[in-house]
Amino acid sequence: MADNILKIENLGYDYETEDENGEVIKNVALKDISFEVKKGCFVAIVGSNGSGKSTLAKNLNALFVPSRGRVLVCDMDTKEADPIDIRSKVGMVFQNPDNQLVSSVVEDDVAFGPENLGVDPKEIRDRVDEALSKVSMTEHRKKGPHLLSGGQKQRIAIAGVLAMQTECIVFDEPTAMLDPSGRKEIMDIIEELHKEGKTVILITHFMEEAARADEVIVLNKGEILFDGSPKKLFTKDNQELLDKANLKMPMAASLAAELGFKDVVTDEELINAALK
Amino acid sequence: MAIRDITLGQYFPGESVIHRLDPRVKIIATLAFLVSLFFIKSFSFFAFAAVCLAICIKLSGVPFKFMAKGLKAIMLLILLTMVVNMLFTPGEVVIFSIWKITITKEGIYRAFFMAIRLVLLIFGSSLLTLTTKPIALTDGLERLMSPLSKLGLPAHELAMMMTIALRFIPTLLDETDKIMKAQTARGADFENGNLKEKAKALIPLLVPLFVSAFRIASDLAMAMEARCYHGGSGRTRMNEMKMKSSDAWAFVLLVVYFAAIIVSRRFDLF
Ligand SMILES: Nc1ncnc2c1ncn2[C@@H]1O[C@H](COP(=O)(O)OP(=O)(O)OP(=O)(O)O)[C@@H](O)[C@H]1O
Ligand SMILES: [Mg+2]
Repeated sequence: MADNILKIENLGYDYETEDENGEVIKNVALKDISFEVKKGCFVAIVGSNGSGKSTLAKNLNALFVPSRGRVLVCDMDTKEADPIDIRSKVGMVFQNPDNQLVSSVVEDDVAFGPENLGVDPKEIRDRVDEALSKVSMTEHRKKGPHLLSGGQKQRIAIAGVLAMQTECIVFDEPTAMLDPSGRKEIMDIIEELHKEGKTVILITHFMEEAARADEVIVLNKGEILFDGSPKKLFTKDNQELLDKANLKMPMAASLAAELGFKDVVTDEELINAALK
Repeated sequence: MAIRDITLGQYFPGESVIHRLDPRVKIIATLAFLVSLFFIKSFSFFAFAAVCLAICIKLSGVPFKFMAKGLKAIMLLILLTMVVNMLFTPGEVVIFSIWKITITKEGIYRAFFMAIRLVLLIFGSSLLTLTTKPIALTDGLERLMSPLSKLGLPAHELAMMMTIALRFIPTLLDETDKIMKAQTARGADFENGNLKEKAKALIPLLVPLFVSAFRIASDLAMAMEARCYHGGSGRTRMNEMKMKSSDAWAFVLLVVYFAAIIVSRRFDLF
């Protein structure tokens, strides 16, 4: 049990909105979701627009609490525990690089999380320096976020979560608003963090990114359609499932299928297989 | 685009003694200086205040030209004040009078008096913003106001609001720029027409701007919550403020200056 960072049991979530007549309409966004995330795992969550990915993400660190079922973060129920305790275990990086930085100075922004947690000033300084060097943004530490590129802003957002020293980081489409080079920068950092032992949950639209995870969860209309390794997911047999979820095979996987290579889903694996 | 050039609370980067002073000391000193200007009764002590301020400006290393730029924007206001004072100050010693307009010696005296006071006010307050980072300014204000939070003043919240405003002014300016370009491409005209037409042209600008401001606000609130923000209680700060010996000296000098101004009121120096 101790090595489970996250345990999701029959999670359901409804949005409640009011129509013109003031009547409450229930919009069921998540239905009967169950899965576990082990310490140090890299889990990708994919699905088409409106499939409930962001709603699920927000349920993972008590930004939302379940309408049905429960979410356990390090054995704490998000419905009962202090949200601060939950959020100091599970950090989150959002999609829009512009709308998640608080301060007009990069290093003060990175310090925001630890400051909220009441960490000692000297330790905050050390954590900020370390986090900034990890995302290679040390030289920009005194700048204003508005002077940085989208990819750089996203790296600052990551540094902000790193400085909180959470067990797990949830990335909600962190690369969706970036150009290809920015996307690669962020993916490299995410893989690096995973290698260093951080638990990573990556929500993405890009199957190439999902192919690099240990485990992929496919969401469709608020339900889990598939939960397993990318090698199992991206096979010809699953074409129907992928079509249903409105997803495409990663380029490398479909090419490998054509060429008859087995267990190939990422670009590197394709190159290696081709060289053999 | 010109809109991008608007800089609010400009900061002039530097490492001077003035830059390095504790922001709290600078805020108090600036307030004291501004108040002192209203105690001054004579030109000679305006000269004294001006010399003191000039020394501070010199120490700060901010070029005088750069400071004077801030003056340009309110030149009109100063001139207007001068004219109004000249015309409407009652006085005995008439210098000249045409038709219904009488210019008296007292009027001229008052006009210059007010103008000098205004100029010193502007220079004094811009020295603060030019030599203090906006973030240090809001931090300093938060700490100065924090004793008042026991009386119900939301010191932390006010400082947080200022911090966020400073952060998002450039973002919103960018957004305005983008929307303006998009609307211009669709044939909107922001430059020509009378006041009513201009005001009307602003509607297609303001509506999307408000929408995007609300979007930013809700995203940001979520992001702040995710980073464990829960108000000011139990919060620590990375940048601790410590009074240095230079801050103590600045304080002593400030007291001496203020005492001199108070004492000056007892003498009728000209
Ligand atoms: N604030 C809200 N109020 C009401 N319904 C919402 C709200 N946010 C999302 N929904 C609905 O919940 C469902 C899931 O939305 P969610 O944002 O989780 O999807 P997503 O998978 O993250 O999509 P995307 O790929 O566009 O980010 C959608 O049907 C959406 O319309
Ligand atoms: Mg989403």
